Amino acid sequence: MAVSITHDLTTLYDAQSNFGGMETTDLMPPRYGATCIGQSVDRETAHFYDTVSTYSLIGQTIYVWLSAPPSAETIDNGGIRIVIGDGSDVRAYYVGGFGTRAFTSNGWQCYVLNGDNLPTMYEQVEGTAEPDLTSLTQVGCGFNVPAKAVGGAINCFTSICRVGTGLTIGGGSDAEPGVFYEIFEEDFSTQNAFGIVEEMGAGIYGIQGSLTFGDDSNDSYFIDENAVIYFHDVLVGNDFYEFNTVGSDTHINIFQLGEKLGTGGEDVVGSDGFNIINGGPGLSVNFSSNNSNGIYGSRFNGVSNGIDLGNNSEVISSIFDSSGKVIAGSSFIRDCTFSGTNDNDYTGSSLLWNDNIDIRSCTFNANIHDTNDPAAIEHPDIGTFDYNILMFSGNDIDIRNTSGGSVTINALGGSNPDEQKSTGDTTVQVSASLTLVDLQPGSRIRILEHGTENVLASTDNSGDTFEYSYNIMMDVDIAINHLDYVYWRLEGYSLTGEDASLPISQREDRVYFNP
Amino acid sequence: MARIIDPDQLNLDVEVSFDTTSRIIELHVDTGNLTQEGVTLQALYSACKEFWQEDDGLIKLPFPFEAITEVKFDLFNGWDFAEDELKDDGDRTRDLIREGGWSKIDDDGNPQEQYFGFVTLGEFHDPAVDIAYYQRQDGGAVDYTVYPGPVNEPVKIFGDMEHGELDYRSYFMTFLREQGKTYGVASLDEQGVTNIDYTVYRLPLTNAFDPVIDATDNEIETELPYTNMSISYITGQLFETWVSGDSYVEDDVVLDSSNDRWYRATAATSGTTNPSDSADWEPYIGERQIGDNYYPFNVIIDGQDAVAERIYEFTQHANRQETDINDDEFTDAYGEVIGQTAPQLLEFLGETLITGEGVFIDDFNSGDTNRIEFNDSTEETRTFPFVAAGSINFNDNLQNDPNAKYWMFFEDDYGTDDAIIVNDADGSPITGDVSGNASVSFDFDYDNNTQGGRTAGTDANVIVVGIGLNTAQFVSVDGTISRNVGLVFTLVSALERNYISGS
Repeated sequence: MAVSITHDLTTLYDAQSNFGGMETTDLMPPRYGATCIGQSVDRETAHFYDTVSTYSLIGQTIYVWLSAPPSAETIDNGGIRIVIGDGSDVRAYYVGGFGTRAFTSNGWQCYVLNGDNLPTMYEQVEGTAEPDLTSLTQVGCGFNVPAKAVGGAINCFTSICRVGTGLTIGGGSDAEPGVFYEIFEEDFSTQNAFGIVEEMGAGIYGIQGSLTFGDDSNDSYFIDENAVIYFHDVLVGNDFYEFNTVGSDTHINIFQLGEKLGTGGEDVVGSDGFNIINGGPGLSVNFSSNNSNGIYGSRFNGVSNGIDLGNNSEVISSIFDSSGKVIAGSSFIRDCTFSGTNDNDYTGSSLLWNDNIDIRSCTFNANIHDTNDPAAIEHPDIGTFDYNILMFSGNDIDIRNTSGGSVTINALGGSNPDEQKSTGDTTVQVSASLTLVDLQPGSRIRILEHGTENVLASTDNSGDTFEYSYNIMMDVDIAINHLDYVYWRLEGYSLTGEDASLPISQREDRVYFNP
Repeated sequence: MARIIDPDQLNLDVEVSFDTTSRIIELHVDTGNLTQEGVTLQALYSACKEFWQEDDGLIKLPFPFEAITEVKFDLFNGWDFAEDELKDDGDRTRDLIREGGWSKIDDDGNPQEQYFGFVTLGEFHDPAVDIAYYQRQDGGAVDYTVYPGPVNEPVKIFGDMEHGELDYRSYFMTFLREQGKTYGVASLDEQGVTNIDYTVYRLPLTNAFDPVIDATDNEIETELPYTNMSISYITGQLFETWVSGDSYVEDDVVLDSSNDRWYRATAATSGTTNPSDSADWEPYIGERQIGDNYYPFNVIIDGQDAVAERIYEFTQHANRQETDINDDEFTDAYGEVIGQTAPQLLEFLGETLITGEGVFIDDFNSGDTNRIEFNDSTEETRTFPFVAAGSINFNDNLQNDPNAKYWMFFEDDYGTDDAIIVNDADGSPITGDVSGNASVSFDFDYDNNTQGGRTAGTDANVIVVGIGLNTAQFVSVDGTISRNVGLVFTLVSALERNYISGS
């Protein structure tokens, strides 16, 4: 069963009859319904608008389908415009023009105007001020066409115009879950023409609105693989783009990106997932705890407003890169990478820890910035926490302690957070041992904190092995002296959270001489 | 106490101490077993291993050494030997190191300083006084060893920007030149060492009492004939027979075979005109005639008619001077020559004076003609034609016989009608009346006499014959005229008892 699309879009005009000075015409295939409307714009700038029911543009976006001749002016010269007014003040905002790519579907372009991020270029059509965005009563479009309309024919067209935020995708079935292409098909249909999802290539979709998957009133199933979701760089508010799931505890709501492989438990990997990229001002991802969210082999890039995985997500083999903070909840997180966080303008962290977190075998790397100090993991609570196979590399800060108290990390399974790269009262401890093997018996051994004379372990008369048990990961220097063998020293050896065995090869000292 | 080779002789904080903060190793003399005789680097290394084995503080620190061989070590982990200013007893720690070279290595593995162990082989005549010196660059200044006597101490050969910025790893020459003693010299180049490593090199260097030297330095510097003697260096190189059309550079010296004379190029040339007729060449002022031939030299000593021993005294004195010894009598602008590092000009072998390569003596005493060997600039030894000399002694029977005569024949045809009387150096036959003399002198042109087909320059076997009338019977004796003076042939004639003179 295909996806079922609902939306919050309110139609301002449907272009099925004359509106604002434009007349129905069959010179252009309709983008919506049975017809469209248009007018001849001949070496002039013309605005076509009329009164509609009162609407607000705060947090909302106008989606209007327009078509202008190739001779239309550039966006800087107001080639294509969206007109809004409140009865007194009317402005025509420049939203497109020659040389500017626009959201395209079925031969039409869908332009947007968002009340929280209006274009700086516009023409005051009536009055002197910005229209009241909370109480708009007029809408329409405008064109600046410097070329002649051949024969005075209609050369500028418009189709349905709506205001709202985005789509909600439900439907699907256990046997036939929904896929993303179906969303595009719904948008592409002249019955809908939402103007939110376009196909930019096979498996590559351009988005200019929010998407919510699931249904809190019905069962829903969405499972898809190998797609790129690109949120367009258009003028919408920083908080406008959302990629969410919703559900309820009384219904089954399945949402899955990519494929989960393996026998279960820890033996799982993900592949063939989605690549979700934000090119716009901001994007947030929120997965409902009421859904069963499976994120496998996927990548989130530029999700600057953060990612809330909820408590019922299974996130495997996925990457969170150049994004805001990931709120893990109690979701199952394995084999993931958290890198390049830009949380809180690079002063935040790539992952927020909590008491119920279920994360292991993940990598935190390159959370760095030239001037600020982003962190890999933030600990907001006092306590002792286990890191299981969490690997850190190249971060400005590995652990940001915002608890106001002590945080103790048990670095397990080779986890390597660096206590030196933590903030606040943070201690990293392990339970592991380093065993020096193949020693020449009688060796004098010192294990020292790297670069210091602080002796951590020692013997003056070793056997052929020497074991050092430790609970703090650090770099150490190992010195071994034996009169009959060449002095042996290793500096900067890193003690990890895992037991390690270090073979020692002592060469016979042919120079030492004591007659 | 002798040089320490046993690490047990080194005690922590007595002979050896460590500044663990600055990582400085310091040796202390005269507070325990260590003296200026020093300690071998191997012994110090071995002692350090024992210190690291026993001391609870040192074991925490990186070990200072890595032994490459018994005499070659890396000094690393920031360790260094104490400098003068860090010392409280005046002796630099590194100067007390014996039989070892080392390289101080930085944390990146790059050398910062390198020393090689300079050891001499052989005895010094007076170890308490005689002191060697050395040159680390061709033409460079000299440094004296820290301690007199046979050398066993480190010499710095490399320093990076922070350690003197020097690189002396391609040249090393050492000298031992003391007044009244034979001279010693040695170089690593002679041993085939062109890349000096931070290990030990042993060079033969020795001296002995020189019986030839009689004059004091003051006498040489203030009295005749020394004060009129001179040494002149002459510019020149190559010293080969000229070949028509070959390319030559300025100051090349060639032999023109058309007249067997030597010429020096005044500029680069590759002409086909013989040097004797070419403006590109000038007569070489270092050319000297020996016998019938001319040979090239580039150091000319004016001997002021002095005997060989006095000339030798003069040049030995010059070869100890820290100043320019080139008197440049020929105004040849050869340039400065520092005496103490210049090649030794002359040396004696027995009674024979031998010149250094390219050295000739003008105006030596003619009596020394036969005992001077000249080494010309072609590296060949040249001597003046030799005049052998000797005497023929007569016993009483010959001396008492007023009619006694003597003859000297070449052995080959003696006893035949073709017997040839040997001529003396002037071409006169060696024969005559005894005339009551106990002996008569003779000489012989050893290098030129070709009587009877004799090969000049070879020993001549001769028969000396004597006979009288009343008291001396006929007598002959075999002999050989060799390249010597002081040859003696003795005729012992039996008493004549039967001769009856006519009436």
